[in-house]
Amino acid sequence: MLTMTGVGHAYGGHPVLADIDLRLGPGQVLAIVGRSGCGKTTLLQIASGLIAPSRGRVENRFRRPAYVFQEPRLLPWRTAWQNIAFGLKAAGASAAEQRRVASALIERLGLAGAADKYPHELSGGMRQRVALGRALAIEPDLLLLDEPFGALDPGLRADMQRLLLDLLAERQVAALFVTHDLTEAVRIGDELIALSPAPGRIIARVPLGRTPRTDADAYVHRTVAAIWPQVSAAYPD
Amino acid sequence: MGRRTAALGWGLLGIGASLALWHLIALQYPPWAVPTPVDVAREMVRLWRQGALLSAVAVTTVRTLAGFGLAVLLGGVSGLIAGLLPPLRQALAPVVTAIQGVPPVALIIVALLWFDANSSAPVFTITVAVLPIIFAAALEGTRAVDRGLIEMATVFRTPRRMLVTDVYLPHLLSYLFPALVSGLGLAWKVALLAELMAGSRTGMGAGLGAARVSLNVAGMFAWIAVVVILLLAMENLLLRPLKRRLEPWQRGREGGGG
Repeated sequence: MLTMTGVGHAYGGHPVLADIDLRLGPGQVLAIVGRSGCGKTTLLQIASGLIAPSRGRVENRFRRPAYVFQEPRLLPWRTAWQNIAFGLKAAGASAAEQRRVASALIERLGLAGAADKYPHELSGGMRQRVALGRALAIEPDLLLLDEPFGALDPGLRADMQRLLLDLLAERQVAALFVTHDLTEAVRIGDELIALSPAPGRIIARVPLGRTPRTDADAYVHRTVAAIWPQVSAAYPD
Repeated sequence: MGRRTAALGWGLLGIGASLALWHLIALQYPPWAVPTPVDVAREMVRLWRQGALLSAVAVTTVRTLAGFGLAVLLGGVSGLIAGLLPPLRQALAPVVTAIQGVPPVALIIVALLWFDANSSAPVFTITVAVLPIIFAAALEGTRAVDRGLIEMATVFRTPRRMLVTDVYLPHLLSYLFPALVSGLGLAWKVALLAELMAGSRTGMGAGLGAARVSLNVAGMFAWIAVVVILLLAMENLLLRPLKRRLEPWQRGREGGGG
């Protein structure tokens, strides 16, 4: 369980987040949308403990959070499987254990044959899969996802969204999923929070249904149209 | 591969043309003033037959590598630590700049007062001359580590030691390599200079000194040629294969990024 009460943050007197109240239960997927610069990344950094908020209270009962960044942030001098095993190695897992977990994830993420390749030999989509694998390898109970597919082209994005949905369901892991793309948020999230432009405040909370496996696109577009009046203030133009 | 073969071909052509030019110029002057490449090669063979060449090369190589190794160790470690601790960096930077400003010749004169001309004086001089280069590269390399990777490692609760071995050191190594190559070149030059100035009885500097005293210009050229060949051999047979071995991830990598 992750609870934030009255959380606000400012960088050098410049406020980026204000009055954030949210609650994330085990296995729940909360999508956070808003324009770039509305403090979404700061919110994730607060949730991960990377930074302490300037005001408010954060209570985090999740024991193993894992982070996926917008860029893959892979070690260029480590192969794909070594990058996937990075968090395990940091946690002190044996070499055999690292290898075992990484091989299973490589299989699951559709990276077969890429295990011993270095990041520069992989495509953008494959690199982001490796980054996702690195987060899943430590068997997290909370996934913090910061626009993880933001740098991918649309076809790849759809593939990765489907893969992430399946993985979240399989592993029953809670997630905080930050994106500026409303359709992506509707597709991935169980609940959606829309943030106003800076300083980010919550302007809408929308419960969402599970995305069906068939006709997912139609469902997503229908839902986006239905919730648009509530969240449009997050996207002033 | 084709491009590499072509580069090798052009390189050999350049060396061949330089040798030919040297030969043509040498023919304009008496052999005791400017020897031809052939004279120099003959002199090298003579030194080799005497056994003087091999022992001198061995002695100077040991001194060079000892001084170079010390400089890499001290400069690398202090550069890494200074890169991690900003106050130390600010304290050490002017000191290192000052050391870098001291000409090697001056270092040798001081070293001769303190150390044995036949062993430790050249080693000391090389260490002090090369250390700032390695220190600066290690410092810059440590500072240039991708902040995103550090943040990633922090999120995964990476222990401090693993942060150094898995993130800082591999990055540092790629930063350090050009400095190692130029540092090794400097180490050879300073070794020769130190041996010559100190009047060492052994080593290539001694050989060069002896050739100078007997006005044997071909001999002097021969010793210089040996130094150049050794430097090229070290770089291409030792450092570059080492780099390929230590950094398989750099193979076939074009530019930065990734």
